[in-house]
Amino acid sequence: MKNKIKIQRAIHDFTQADLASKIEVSRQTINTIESGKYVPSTVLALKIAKIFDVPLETIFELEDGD
Amino acid sequence: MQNNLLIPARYKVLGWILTLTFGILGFFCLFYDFKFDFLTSNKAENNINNILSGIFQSNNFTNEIALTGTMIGLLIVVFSKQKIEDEYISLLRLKSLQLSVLISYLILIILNFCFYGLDFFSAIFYNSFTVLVVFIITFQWKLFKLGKEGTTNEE
Repeated sequence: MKNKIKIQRAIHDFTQADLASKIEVSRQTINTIESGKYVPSTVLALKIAKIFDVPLETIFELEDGD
Repeated sequence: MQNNLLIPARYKVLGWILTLTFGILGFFCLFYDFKFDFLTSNKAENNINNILSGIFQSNNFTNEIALTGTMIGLLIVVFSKQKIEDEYISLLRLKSLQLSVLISYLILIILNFCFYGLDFFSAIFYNSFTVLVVFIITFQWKLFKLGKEGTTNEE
């Protein structure tokens, strides 16, 4: 699954730590999600979308093989 | 995902203190035959039940106390939360637990062929710590690696 968290962070001028504290996870978790190493749960994905105030599909999208 | 079995992170220090204190006590019990005299029980001498008196002979409970304390300490360390216990940390917890159970049983299979009779029981006894110890090592290693990746990849 591809994600555009980094782009959204840049748009909103958030650091990984800012985003992490807003959704109550560790900064390292945001890092693993951004790098595609970890696919977040639906709850976490929805929280991220809510913080950036965009639909879920704007941030996360399926890729071939998913 | 809510994990109700975990206890607050502040208990981890208590867990380590218990582990170290009772671990050191256990070490001296095992290798230097250290005993607290007040922990000796002679109850069995008055016991009329032959079977029970066979099991509960005069015994010093220092080693039992050391074992129990060490195990409780390790369990507290294993079951205490991280400062930020999120879903990725839960995943690391699960992976570490899987690995520790696997390693523990692999060791048990090997022990099965290496030790016989009473030696086998003492080998099983030592192996009972493997799940907890391997879990702690692998989990801490994964957290360490996660922290390292996090600092190199930021922004």
